[in-house]
Formats: sequence, C-alpha cells, structure tokens
Amino acid sequence: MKVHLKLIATYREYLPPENKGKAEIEVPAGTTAVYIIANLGIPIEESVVLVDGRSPNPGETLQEGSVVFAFPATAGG
Amino acid sequence: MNGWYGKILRVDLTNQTHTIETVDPQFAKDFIGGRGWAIKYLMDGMDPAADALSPENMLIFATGPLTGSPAPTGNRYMVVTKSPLTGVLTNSNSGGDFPTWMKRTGFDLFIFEGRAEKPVYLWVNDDQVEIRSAEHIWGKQVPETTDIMLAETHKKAKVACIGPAGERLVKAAAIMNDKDRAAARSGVGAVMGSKNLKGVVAMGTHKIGMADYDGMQTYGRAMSREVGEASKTSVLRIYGTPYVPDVTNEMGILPTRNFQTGRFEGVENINGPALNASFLLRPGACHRCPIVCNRITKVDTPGYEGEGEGPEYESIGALGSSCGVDNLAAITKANYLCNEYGMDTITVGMTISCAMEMYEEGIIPESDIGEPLKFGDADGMIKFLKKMALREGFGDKLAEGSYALAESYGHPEYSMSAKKLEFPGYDPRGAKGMGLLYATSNIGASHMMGDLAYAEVFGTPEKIDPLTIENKPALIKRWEDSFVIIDAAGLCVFMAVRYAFDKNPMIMPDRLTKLMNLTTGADYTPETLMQAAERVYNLERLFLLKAGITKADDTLPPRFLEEPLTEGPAAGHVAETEKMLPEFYALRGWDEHGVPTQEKLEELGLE
Ligand code: SF4
Repeated sequence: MKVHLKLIATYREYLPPENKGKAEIEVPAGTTAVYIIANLGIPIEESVVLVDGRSPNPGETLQEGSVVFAFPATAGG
Repeated sequence: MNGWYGKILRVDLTNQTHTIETVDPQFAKDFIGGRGWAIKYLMDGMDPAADALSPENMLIFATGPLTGSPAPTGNRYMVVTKSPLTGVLTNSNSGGDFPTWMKRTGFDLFIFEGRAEKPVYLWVNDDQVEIRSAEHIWGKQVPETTDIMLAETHKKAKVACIGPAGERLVKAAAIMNDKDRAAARSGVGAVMGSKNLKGVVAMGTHKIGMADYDGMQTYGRAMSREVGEASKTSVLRIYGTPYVPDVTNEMGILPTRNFQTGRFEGVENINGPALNASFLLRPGACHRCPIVCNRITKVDTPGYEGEGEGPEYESIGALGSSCGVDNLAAITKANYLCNEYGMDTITVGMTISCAMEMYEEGIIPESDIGEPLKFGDADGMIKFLKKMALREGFGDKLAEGSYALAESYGHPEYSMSAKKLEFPGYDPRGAKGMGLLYATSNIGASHMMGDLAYAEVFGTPEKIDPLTIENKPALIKRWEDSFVIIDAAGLCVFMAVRYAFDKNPMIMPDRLTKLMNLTTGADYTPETLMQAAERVYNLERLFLLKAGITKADDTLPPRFLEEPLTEGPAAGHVAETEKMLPEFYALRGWDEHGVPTQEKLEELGLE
C-alpha cells in the first residue's frame, strides 16, 4: 500500500533535496510509522512522529494513504 | 547580596527626581526576582483599578538574579505594568543586549511613576542617573531614536525605547530594545508613551556577586557549552521558529483567517525553508545565547524592500496565515514595520485579521474602512498596519486592539482574544492544555505564561496528547508556576524548559535550582522555588481580582468553545476549557469563583 511521508525542517535532509521532504512510498500492510522513520536513520527518541496529524498508539499500523510526518523534538515556537 | 544587587531605581517622572531603594534579603528570596519582585511593588504602589494610561500606573523594568550571569540565556528582562489593552496585569519579556546592560548599572529594577510634562528619556550610567529632554526625538521611529540616544550618551550603551505607535498610545505598542527585540505584548509601549518617556539608555560596570563564583563559572559555562553543542545542528539554529507553521498546519492548529480554520493552503510559502531560500542572511542571537534562534533577514522584492530581524513564527501566524496572506516578502516587511513603529506583531496581525473577517461578513461597512479589506490582501495588511501605528483614518479603530474594534460594532465574538489579549499561534481546539492556559493566564491569551505547546506540540520534554483534557489542569498549574521561575530568574524559556528542568511533563526545576543557588546562595530546593513561584502567581491573581476580573473572564471566545474545527486531526473538537476550570481552581487552592482561599494565602504568606 501507499503512504505519504512528510519530513520537515532539518529532517528534509533524509530525502534527496529535490523531494523537499516529501515522498510517496510503498510499504507492506502492518508497517508502523516508527519503523519507516527509524529505517531512514532518523533518531526516534529525539523525534516527534505523527500519523495523520496525531501521535500513533504504540504498535499502531499504517493505512492506505496515511500521512507520516516527522520533525526533531524541540522547545519553542 | 549575591545574584541580586538588592537595589532599585525609582524614577518620579512628574517631579523629575529619582530615589534609590534597598531590598530586604528575605523579600528577595521569597519573590525570586524580576517578574516576582515587580508584582509586589505594583501591588503595594498602585491601585489595580487605576486607568492604565494615567500617571497612577507604574511601569517596571525588571531583571532577575540570573540576568547577566554565566547561565545560558541569562539575558532577559520583563516589563511589568497594568495593560491599557486588556485592563489587567501584563508581563512582557524581551532578550537581546539591553537587559544585561541594564543589570550592569547596578540596579535590579527600574520603576517609573507619574508622567513627565514633556518628552524625556532616562540615561543611567552606573549610579549617574539623568532625565533628559526627548523633545527633539519625539515622533521618530525606533532605529533612528536608538541611534540618536546612543550618539547623545555613549556608543557602547544600549537602548529600550518606543516608536510612533507608543507615542500615540496605540494599544499594540511595544517597548523595543536593541532596535529589533520587543517587550511586545499588551500595549506596554503605550504606557511608556503615556508617561512621555521616549526611551531608557543603560550601561555600567557593576558585576553581580556570586555566592559560589567558581562553582557558577564552571557549572554555568559547562551548561552553555552543552546547549551550544546540541544547538549546532538544531532546528532552532537552522530554521528558527519559522519551522513551526509546518507542524501546526499538520496538527490543524495554525491560525488561519482569524482562526476560522487550522490549516492554510499557502503554508509552504511561509515556512522555514521558504524563509531560508529567500531572505535569511544569517541566524542571530540575544546576548551570549548558545541557541542562536533569531533571524537576520533582507528582502529585495520590489515594494517590500528592507533589512532587519524576523519574522518569528508568531509574526508569520498573525500577519500571515491569520490574514490569509502567503506572501512571505510582505509578511517580513510587515514585521520590519512593526519593529520600526514599535508594535506587537501578534496584536497587529490578529486585529487586522479580525477586521478582515468582519468586513467580509458585512459587519464593518466599506465606508468605515475606505476600501475593501479582505483576507489574502497582503498590501492591505501593510497599509492598515501603518495606519494603525499612526492612528490614521480606520487605523484609529484598529489601534484600540481587536476586542475594542469588534465590540464597537456590537460583535466582540469576532475578537480572538482572552481577557482582550489576542491569541498566539496555537488553536486551543487542537491543543487543549493551551486553551486552559489562555483562559487562566494572568495576562490573557499568551503562550509565554506556561507554554504547554512544548509538550502538546513539540515533544519537549516528551510528547503528550494535545486532544485530551486529562491531567491538563495539573500540568498547566505546574507549567505556569515554572514559567514564573524562568521569568523571575531572567532566563529564556526556549533554553530553560529543555535544559534546566527535569524530563517529565510535570516539570521540576532541577538544574535551574542549582543555577539559582550557586548565584544567590539562597538555598532553594526545587520545592521551595516552586512555592515562591506560586506566591508570585497568586499575588498576580489578586492584582487581577482587584482590577475587576471575575470567573466569567477566565474563558475563551465562543468560536473556540462552540465551533468545532472541521479539518485535520482535531476535526470535531472544541476547547473544553469550562470542563477543566473547576479542577484547576481546586488545584490552585481557589474557591469556585476563582478567588484564592484565605488558607492558600496564609500558606503562601500573602494574607
Ligand atoms: S533562544 Fe533565541 S530568543 Fe532565546 S535567548 Fe537565545 S537567541 Fe534569544
């Protein structure tokens, strides 16, 4: 199934520059957002990972068309 | 005393005199410093019901014990006064260089009373205090005012001043320091204008005493190195706060068209990468800050040319998405203009977006404005920002802020404000703790009084669910009190929450307590420091109650309570503030009307 990946700010660097942080990827059913993010080499414990704008429950698997969004945890805005 | 000088400069503008007062060491400890000391002086020195623009109001510049210390981001001060925008208290914070230079004069606080007959400025060089004429500078914008004052005093001094907006008592007026940094909120610049005080110039040779000099040098510097190391590749250094629109948009809480929705179709034109690609010259920093989050920018786009600092996230949200504007050149230009006229970008942007909605709804007739003023009109936003600063035409109505504007047309519900202070950039329908903060904060809808968005949105110290109300009253109480400590100490919240508190959402000031003790020798524990913060918080609440606030004011605009969001993860949600309020009052030791109980006041030594 297809899911959308959105990496913002400094995490854009984990994808080729022309992607501007966005990719559509094919994943098997049963995949979790954390698995995808960790697989890119992004440090999970320093990150906020959202699926369709909210924090997934532990072990929650992705659906067709889910948007996986990640950025470095920080303070301030 | 250590950390604190225990010395206050009181300036009587009416009689053009000044006095120097000393501070009791027990008081110093019990009220921490900065914001904490200031509320005590305000409570003892004025009637909270007084008109904010009358000579009776007191204007206080307050540094904390860590301002000017080796603690990372020890570069802040607080402006504390009664707000003409809201009619309640305000605590307006700023960094840059001025606060450290103010501290070097050897005074912890500057207190201004009365009103000068003609425009003046204050020049403080150590113990030499001079009130000088500012008649020749009146009317000038912030950069020119700053340059003239430095030329007339000392080129190594630092300046905090008002621009034309403060002189005209515009209720969005800020006190600008170092040209581009702002004690922005609640119209503090109008209070300064009402006193005919154009600026304050400071420098000095004083150094604070340190209870444990070697210990603080070692600990403070090691902490600075740690923060600096972690910040080298950090998002705040590389993109500054403009990385945030992408996050809030994804969560559906980016203020869009006066908070009608939380997602903005133009977000990619106003985000961090867009700013870096087009206008960023380099990151900048407040005095000795190892995080370096400021944006030094330059715009060459025809019609919007300029150079300066900004925009920050809050300015992008208010002047950009809330006005439906995705033209980043225009937003950046509007930010420069706010700095030059001396205005708060949030109140300006939110007041203009309020007018845009009321115009589109047919409530404000075109004849009042003089022309159409619709969402997305970047040039209209800039044009009316200038009119607001100068109180020209319809700008005179805008200058009163969004609540007075909307109320004058019989529809206060279009003002996105709490206690008449305009909302910052987190829609409380999708960040419920923030909703409770906005409703209860002692200054109105400010994120700076206990920014739980760090946890609800940004994952610091860890990500918590923004859509539940469970445990939020306890968290908000804890965060509000924690922010009292940070403000009173003189640190920047960006650093302190991440590095000077423990890593649990119920944050406790572990390393901050150590910084305070090494500096002041006051032997705080995290618990006694928290209790001192609670004392300050409750005294602030008493000021509000005496100013006429009731439980009915601890609320949000109907939009947030009754109109659910329609897109994004918070679709279907409203801010559930009312449900959280009873628990919050109980945790605070307040009765069902939101009044501190006698028992609570006795426990805090405030009876
Ligand atoms: S983190 Fe940013 S706002 Fe805070 S002191 Fe540093 S440069 Fe200034």
